[in-house]
Amino acid sequence: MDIVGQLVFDGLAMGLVYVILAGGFVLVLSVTQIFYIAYGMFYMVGAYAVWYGASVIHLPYFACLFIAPLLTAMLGMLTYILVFHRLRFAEERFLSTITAALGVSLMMSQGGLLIFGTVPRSIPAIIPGMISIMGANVSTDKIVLIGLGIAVTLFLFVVYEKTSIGRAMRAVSYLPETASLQGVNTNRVYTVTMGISCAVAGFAGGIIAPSYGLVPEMGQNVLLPVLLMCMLGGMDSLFGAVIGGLVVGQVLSFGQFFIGSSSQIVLFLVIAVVIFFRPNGLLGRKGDFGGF
Amino acid sequence: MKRYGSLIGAIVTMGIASLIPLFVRSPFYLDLLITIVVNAILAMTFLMMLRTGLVSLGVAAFWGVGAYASVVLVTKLHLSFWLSLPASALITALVALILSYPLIRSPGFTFAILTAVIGMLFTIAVGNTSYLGGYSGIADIPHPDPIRIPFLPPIAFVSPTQDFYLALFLLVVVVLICTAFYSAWTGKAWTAIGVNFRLAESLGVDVFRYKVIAFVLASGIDGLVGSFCAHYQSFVVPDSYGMFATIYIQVYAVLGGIGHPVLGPVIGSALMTFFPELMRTTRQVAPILTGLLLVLLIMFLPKGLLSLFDWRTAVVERLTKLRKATVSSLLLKNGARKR
Repeated sequence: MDIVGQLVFDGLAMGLVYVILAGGFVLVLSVTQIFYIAYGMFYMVGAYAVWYGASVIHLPYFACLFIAPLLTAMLGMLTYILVFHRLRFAEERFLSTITAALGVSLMMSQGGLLIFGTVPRSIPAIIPGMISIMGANVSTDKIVLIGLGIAVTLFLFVVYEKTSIGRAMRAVSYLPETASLQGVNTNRVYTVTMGISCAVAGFAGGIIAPSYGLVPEMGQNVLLPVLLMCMLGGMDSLFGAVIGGLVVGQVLSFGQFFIGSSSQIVLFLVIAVVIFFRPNGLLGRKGDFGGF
Repeated sequence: MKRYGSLIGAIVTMGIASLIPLFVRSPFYLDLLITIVVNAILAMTFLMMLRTGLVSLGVAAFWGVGAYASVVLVTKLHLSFWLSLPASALITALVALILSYPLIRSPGFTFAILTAVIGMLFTIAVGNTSYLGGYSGIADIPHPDPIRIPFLPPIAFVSPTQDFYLALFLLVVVVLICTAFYSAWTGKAWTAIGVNFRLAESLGVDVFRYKVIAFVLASGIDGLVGSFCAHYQSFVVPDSYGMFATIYIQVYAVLGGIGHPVLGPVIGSALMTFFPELMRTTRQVAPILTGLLLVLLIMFLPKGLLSLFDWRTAVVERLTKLRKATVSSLLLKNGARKR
């Protein structure tokens, strides 16, 4: 039973990071209709900002965890205001935004390399030590990670479901024109959505920093699993993203141990079958994005 | 005369292009030119599918299927390259035909997502198959065999110059195929489907069948190019056929201009290949400049680079917009006064 518990906790820790990232990605895609392939870069920037604060300036870790999301949120809003705002009414908007996002992604990844260097980095553990739960030895950092991950997921839900800006987001994601006729400031909603999503991505990078190391390619590597989870859960459903993230986290954790890396093939095939029979994902509502 | 204008232009361009190796001796630049040709062909197939409203995020996967099919045919079954080049195109088209039923039946966005899943699956599936060399790929793939024509010296494919001519030949073939299909009834049906598929269906166009034709043809061309690419580079690695490759292919198509199915991809891929090389003196800043160029181009020329040359239509459009704006503002003022 030891090994099963261990795998469950590993999968949960990684899965929660995926959940946060997928939640943010779903928010961007469903509200602003941008297929934001530069999203992983905000995760990388958040992680490196936390590393910079904690290891170079020697700020306390939790202070960094507060500053890094603010930084990524500002970056995200900046990209929206400067670039994507102009592309709102472009023809073939889906393809134009992918192209612009690729440009942003190139700039951010190379900028990150220039500023933070190419060496893999790591942060010393926040609270050193191990805790044994149900016969599994889990490092305290992972417990902190799981706790923070759940907290952020709840935060996303509260913002999306309970606040007035969340109601505006849901309205805009459903029918943008009608929402703006009803007095919703669509541009503000887009900007705020971008800010929240990028903040959340930066936070995910920050909480992963102590348990797993940092490499400069982490931004690109994380994008494909996140896309996969969004597809599984449904491209416009926050709850679907949560389910997708948890499932993919557990499957990857168990599959990697018992079957090896070919378990990914099974995962992809299962997801392809799910999408074929439920084109909007498990919990998605509509299958119509990007104007086609 | 006007009818043959584009034909004459194409022939002259090809003539100039075939003279390039006389002036460009360095293998590095020839390699760049071959990359441009390959990327342009791939972007053309992307546009062919886009014309019917299919946004495929799995172009690179079919490219890879062609490459691996050709490698297996040549290294494991010891076929000649000249047999395996069309054979791999046929195999890729067959794979596309089998996949097309579930793919094309699904609506627009789902098609994009499913092809993206196929694109990711291809890398992982090949990476975990030891017969195909796994993630480290297959190296030492033989170059194309020499062509022996009686009474003439054999044409060997040893230097980049001959490879460049082969790439150019493939480009001509693909452009001919593309223009033939675009100008025939298939092209008209594709355009009708892309503009409004419900209207096209009501007028008797078999939407499913024409989408399948576009998808299978485009994938077959991808396979053809994949086969050439594998033998030209003499190695294949699954990671180079991943999802990011597809995103780059899409970017070439968008940069040149979606409305120009043949010239747009060539311009786009030439720009995106040459610009980073021009900026190589700036070393590490080069990717940042490339990203900046991408963002600026898409912001200020959202219809692609070739829309610069449609200056007349652009100017007319701007003028009509201005006139409409003035008229409506005057009307508004008058109305306000009356009240």
